Amino acid sequence: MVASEVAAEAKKGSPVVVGLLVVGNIIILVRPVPVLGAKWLSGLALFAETVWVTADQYRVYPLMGISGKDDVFAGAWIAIFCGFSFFVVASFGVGAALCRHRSMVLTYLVLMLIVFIFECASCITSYTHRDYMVSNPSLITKQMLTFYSADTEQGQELTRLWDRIMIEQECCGTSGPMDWVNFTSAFRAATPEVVFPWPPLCCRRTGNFIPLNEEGCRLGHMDYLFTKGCFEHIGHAIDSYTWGISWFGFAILMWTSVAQSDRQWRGLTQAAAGQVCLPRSPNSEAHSCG
Amino acid sequence: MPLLWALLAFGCLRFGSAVNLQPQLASVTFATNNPTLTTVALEQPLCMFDSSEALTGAYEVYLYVLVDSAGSRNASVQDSTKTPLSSTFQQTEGGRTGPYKAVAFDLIPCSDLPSLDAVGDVSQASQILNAYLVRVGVNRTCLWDPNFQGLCNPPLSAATEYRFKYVLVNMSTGLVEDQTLWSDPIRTNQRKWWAVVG
Repeated sequence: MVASEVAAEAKKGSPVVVGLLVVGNIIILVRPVPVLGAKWLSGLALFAETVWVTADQYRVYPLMGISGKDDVFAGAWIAIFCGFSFFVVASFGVGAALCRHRSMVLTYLVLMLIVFIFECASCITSYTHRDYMVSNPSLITKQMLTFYSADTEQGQELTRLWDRIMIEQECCGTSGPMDWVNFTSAFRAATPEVVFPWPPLCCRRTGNFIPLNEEGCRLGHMDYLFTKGCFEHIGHAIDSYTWGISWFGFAILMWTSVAQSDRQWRGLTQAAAGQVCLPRSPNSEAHSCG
Repeated sequence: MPLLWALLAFGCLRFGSAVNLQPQLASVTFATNNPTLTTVALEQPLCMFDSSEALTGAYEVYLYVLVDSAGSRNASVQDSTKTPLSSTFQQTEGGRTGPYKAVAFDLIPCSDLPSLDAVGDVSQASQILNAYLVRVGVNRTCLWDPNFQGLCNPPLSAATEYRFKYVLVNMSTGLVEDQTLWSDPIRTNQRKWWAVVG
């Protein structure tokens, strides 16, 4: 009954119904496509997400670049390649499934495997380097003490980064202003403790960036000094990049490899073996293979 | 803040005699970084000398600094005629051979205490900080300035224990009227190398 009503509607030419019929026929005719379509979309999603990571909206790249441990971003670049490759290879896979050439399907499987391996590498690289950078504050603290206020090019770059973070996030040092007091640093070599125990940017300021009270800041009164450490913000930035690359990438990998249903796998292997399987009729579930 | 006032009020219970009181480090609320490598911030002797009755006449408080050693608890800051010592930093080798006079300031009457809660007000902050704190070791130039007049308060040595004492001097007679005990040893900060980090 429903089918006859739908057919009547289609005859009248209602555009929605016609569109649905076309899509439905495509899905039914070409069974492997939904899975490949999912790969296509997930590849695109991975590509988009890792482009966001590479864009570095938190602008913390110098922290990693200076220590030479910027492999969180290396993982992101690999994942961009992998995401785009998933997209391209899945499109190729749709073509292979439609044409049902054995060599095309085999090529598709090999390419998928290669991209899979690269994506695994990206996930692992990002995660281990995130661990190295922000599992505890000591690396960031040592880098800050060594390079902040140093006269080298790296020093200037890092000074700009820390100044920006301290102003925007209203924080001082890695764990707090006492970082500057408890340890020697390039800043301490330039500025004796009596002159200013911590960088002047640790002082609370008015909207016009004038310190509220310099003496209060120098003494360390909490109304005139930022007492929060900046590590929380930096850790959050690097963590969100790493979760995006390693965990999201891992999820995509699991989805594309494990989620492939048994029937689709059989369909693809049968096509690879040279068998062509067509549905008996557009609306039936059964196939006849010849 | 109420604790701070309780501590100050305790001083007021001593009937005008400060012989059992000691100079204290400034509260952490006011001076987070204290002591530093070369400076120490102490609380002013508010209500230490004049708790029960107001003092008449001109009085000044002198702060003496001494490096902690075996006999430092009993070191004297006055001679036989009760005149306060006027030894300087250079004369005592930075407090190692005897106490030196670092700071001198007018006594703030007990009835005239600053309202410490208003330190958050930017316009009053400097005034309140100056009324509450005494900083030892803040003058970096007086040691090598030949034209320097007045009391030299040069930086202290790092990682050294110092003791401090307030002395109340009557300006009309020039004699010591009252004095606190020597403070407990206060150690200045030690310079650490960043290799220690991680």
